[in-house]
Amino acid sequence: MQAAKDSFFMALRDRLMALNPARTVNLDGVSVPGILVRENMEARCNEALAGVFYVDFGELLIAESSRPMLGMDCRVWYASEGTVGGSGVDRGRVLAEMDEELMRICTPAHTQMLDYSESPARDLGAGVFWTAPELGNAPGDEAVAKQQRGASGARLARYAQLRVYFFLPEVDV
Amino acid sequence: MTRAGLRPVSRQTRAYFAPVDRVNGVTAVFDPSKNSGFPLDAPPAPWIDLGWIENFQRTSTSQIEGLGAGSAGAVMAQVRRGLGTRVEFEFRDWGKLQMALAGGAEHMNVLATDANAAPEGSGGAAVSAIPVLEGSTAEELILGVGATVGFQTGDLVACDMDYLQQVGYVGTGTAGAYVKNPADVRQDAHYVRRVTFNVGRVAQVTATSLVLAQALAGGAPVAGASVQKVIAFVDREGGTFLQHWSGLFVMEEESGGRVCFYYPILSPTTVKPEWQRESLVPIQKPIGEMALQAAFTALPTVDGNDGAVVLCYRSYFPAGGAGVY
Repeated sequence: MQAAKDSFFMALRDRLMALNPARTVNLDGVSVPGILVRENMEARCNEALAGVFYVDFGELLIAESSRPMLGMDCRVWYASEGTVGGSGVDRGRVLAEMDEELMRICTPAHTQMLDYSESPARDLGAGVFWTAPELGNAPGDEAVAKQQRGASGARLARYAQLRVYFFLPEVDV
Repeated sequence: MTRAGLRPVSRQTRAYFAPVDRVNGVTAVFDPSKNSGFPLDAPPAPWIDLGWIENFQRTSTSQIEGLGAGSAGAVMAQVRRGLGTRVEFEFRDWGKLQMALAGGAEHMNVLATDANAAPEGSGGAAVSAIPVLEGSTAEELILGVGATVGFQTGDLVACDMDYLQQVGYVGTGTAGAYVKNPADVRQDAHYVRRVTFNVGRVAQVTATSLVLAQALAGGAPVAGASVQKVIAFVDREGGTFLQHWSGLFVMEEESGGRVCFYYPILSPTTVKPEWQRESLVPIQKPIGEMALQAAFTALPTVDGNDGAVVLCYRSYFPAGGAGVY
């Protein structure tokens, strides 16, 4: 199961690095690609930054029974505050850029499943594949409502949902 | 080794077609030993990428029948008869070749006409063609100083020989039609360019040449070729010509390896007495996407490795690290 999570994340991270090398985040002085798995972060890192993709894994379901295939809910949260002198006037454009980046790094919607607990990572002989992300406003996000009241510099947040599928990599031979 | 990799998972199929040499009966070959795992956006030559297709169905009509013997009529042997197979799907991308394959007959390039030309359903008398000069390639047509004036970036063009009153297949690289009698095509010098698959879009007009966005399907222009502006593409219900192309369909591998279906010769067919030529796939009512319906029957070829008469090949490229059985 961890292999599927790792493989999914590594695929998106590698694609993001290739697509937009400038999208990075500074963690303890180290610049890393701007996509993070929240459950892998230290507990003290609890403030989400704009301009970074945060990946959360959720519920699991059995998608197919004769050969166990699991479906794992996945959410990607990200936000924009814009870039133009802190005024936020381009926050919509920046969010649209992130929307497009997410769609692009999610395509093709599959990757090899590798066991990253070993070095080099070991090919587990199957794939990890996922649905197209559905892009919605983040739950509880007030940005839209605020904008309807006035042209405030609200942070815009997105909450993309998809489901990641994979076979359990049980060893038979 | 795991067994999980033994279950191919796919959600979409990509179609590639390549011309069949109608005169010599030579087909394009998909050799799994040479073309394993090719990037789907960059197929090996001579395959032309026609995009993702939908509702891909392969239907075999081949039958295996028993031969009974003795008073009990028990099956003592079996024979295969009625070797046949069909392929049906929808093109979602529209283009010259997609239309030609879905239409099945001659596919016409509507050549630019002058204002006084009498109207015709597939385009009237065409304006003069511009000769293509030596040194031209499949990507750049050299016309010479002053000869590019009538062209603009974004134009569609057709490039091929003048029709020389010959009888037989016409079209460089790919047969676009069969002419039984020059009078049938009104001895039109532009007829080959009306049906040729050597069409392209002009990406850049230089002082002496047209740079094309995509290479001509038939390769570099042959000596004596000329170029004409194309306004549109037309297929028709009718005509006598049947398109023959080699087909390759790849199910994109998501898990469990890649599966490919290779048909040396596909010819258009009908699948039922009445059928839709195109359909409107709903996006959100009333918005819909136009899909081209295509159906083919496979014609036989001989596998040189064992002399077997075959219609199609199914190749499987197992996923790395997966079991073999």
